[in-house]
Amino acid sequence: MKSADEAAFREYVAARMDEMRRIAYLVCHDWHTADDVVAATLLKLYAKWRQAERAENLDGYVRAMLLHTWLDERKRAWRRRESAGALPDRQAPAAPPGDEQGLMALLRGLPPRQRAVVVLRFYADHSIEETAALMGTSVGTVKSQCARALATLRQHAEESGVRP
Amino acid sequence: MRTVFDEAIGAMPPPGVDVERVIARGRRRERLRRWATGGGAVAAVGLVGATLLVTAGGTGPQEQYAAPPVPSPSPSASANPTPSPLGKAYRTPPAEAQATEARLSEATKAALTRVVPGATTGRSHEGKDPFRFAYLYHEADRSGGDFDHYNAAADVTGNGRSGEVSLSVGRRSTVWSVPTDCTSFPAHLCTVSTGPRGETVLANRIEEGVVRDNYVAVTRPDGTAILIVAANQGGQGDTGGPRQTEPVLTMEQLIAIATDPALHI
Repeated sequence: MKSADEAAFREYVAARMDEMRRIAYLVCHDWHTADDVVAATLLKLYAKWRQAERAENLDGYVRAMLLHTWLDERKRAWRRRESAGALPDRQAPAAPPGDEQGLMALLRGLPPRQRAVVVLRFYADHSIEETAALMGTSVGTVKSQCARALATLRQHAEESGVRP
Repeated sequence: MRTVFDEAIGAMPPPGVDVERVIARGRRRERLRRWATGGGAVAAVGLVGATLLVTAGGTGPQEQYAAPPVPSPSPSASANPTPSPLGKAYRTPPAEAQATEARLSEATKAALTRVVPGATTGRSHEGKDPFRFAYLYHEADRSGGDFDHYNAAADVTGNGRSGEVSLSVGRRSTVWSVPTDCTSFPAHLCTVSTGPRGETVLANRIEEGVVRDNYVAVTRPDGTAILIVAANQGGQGDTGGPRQTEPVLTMEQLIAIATDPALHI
C-alpha cells in the first residue's frame, strides 16, 4: 500500500474506531472478543483498502465486513469445538452490569444473522435494501429476519417487563 | 433507536486494538502474497508445453530430482537456474489430490520431528488441524495462467520457542512462481544458495516492527516449489503479540524441512 493510502486508512480507522467497537460489542457482548473482531476486520480492510475506498458506501462496506468477520469467527469456533469435542474455549460473556434484563440480553437471545441484521438496520440505520446488499441476502430475507427479530425482542421485553 | 443502543452499551473501555500493529501485519501479508505469487511469470511464459517432469501423486520420496541444477552463485535478476517446466498448471483429480494432501501432512510432521526433536504442533491460526494440507486450484484469470498447490500450517512449539509455520508445495507455473533470486528483497536480509540435490534455496528474513519471519523458498530442478515461513507469533491473522524475538524455526531448520525429498507432489 502506498503511504498516501496508508495515511487515508489510518485517518478512516481513527474516525470510525469507536463505532466499529460498538457494533462489534452489540453482536459479541464482550469487549475482548469485540476488539479481536475489530482487529481482524481492520486487517482485511487494509488488504482491500483501495477497493474499499471506491465503494459507494464505505461505512456500510466496513460494517458488513465486520459482521461477516464475526459470523465467520463464530463458525470457526464452533467447528473447533465440534472437532475437538471440548468445552468452549471461552466462557459465555456475562451480561453487562445493569443490563441483565435489558436490550443487550434481548439481542443475545437472537440467532447470529438476525442479530447482525438488527444491528445494521436499527443501530447503523441502513435501509432494508442496503442491509440486504451488505449482508449478501435478499430484501425479503431481511424483512422476514427483521420481523422475526422484532417479534422476539417484543416477546422477551413483555416477559421481562423491559422496553426494547 | 441508536441512542437506546448506545445507552445499553454503556461506557467503552480503552481500545484493545493497536492500529499500527494491524498495519505492520497488513504490510507483511501483502509482501508474502506478492512474493508467493508474482515475479516469475516471464521466466515461465516461454515454457508452455514443455515436458512434464512432475507426476502428481508419486508413490514415494524422490531421492534425486530430474536434472542437475546450474549453480546460483549470487543473487541477481537473471539468476534463475531452475525455470519451471510448466507454463500452465492442471487440476489434479480429487482422489489424487486427497492422497497427496495426506502424504504431505505425514511427510511434513516427520521432517519437523527429524529437524526439531520433541517439537509439538497445534492448530493453525485459522483453526485448522496442524499441517493438514489443502489442495488449491485456481482457474486461469486475466494474469494468464492457472495454478495449483497444497497449503498447510501449524502452531509449532520447539527450540524453546513457538509460532506459526506455514507451508506451500506446488508446481511453478505462470502464476504461482516462487522467487529464485533476491531482486525483490532487501539485499542484506536475503541469500540464495544451492541445496543438496541441486535445489535453488532462497532464504529471506522479514522484519516488520516486532514481527519477524524466516522465509525460505526452495525450487527444485523438476519445477516443484516449496515455500515455508516460520513466524515469531501465531500467524498472519493472530491478534496477539510476538511470543519471542526470533521465529520458531531457524533458517537452517526450514531449509532442512523444505529440501526433504519426502516432500514432493
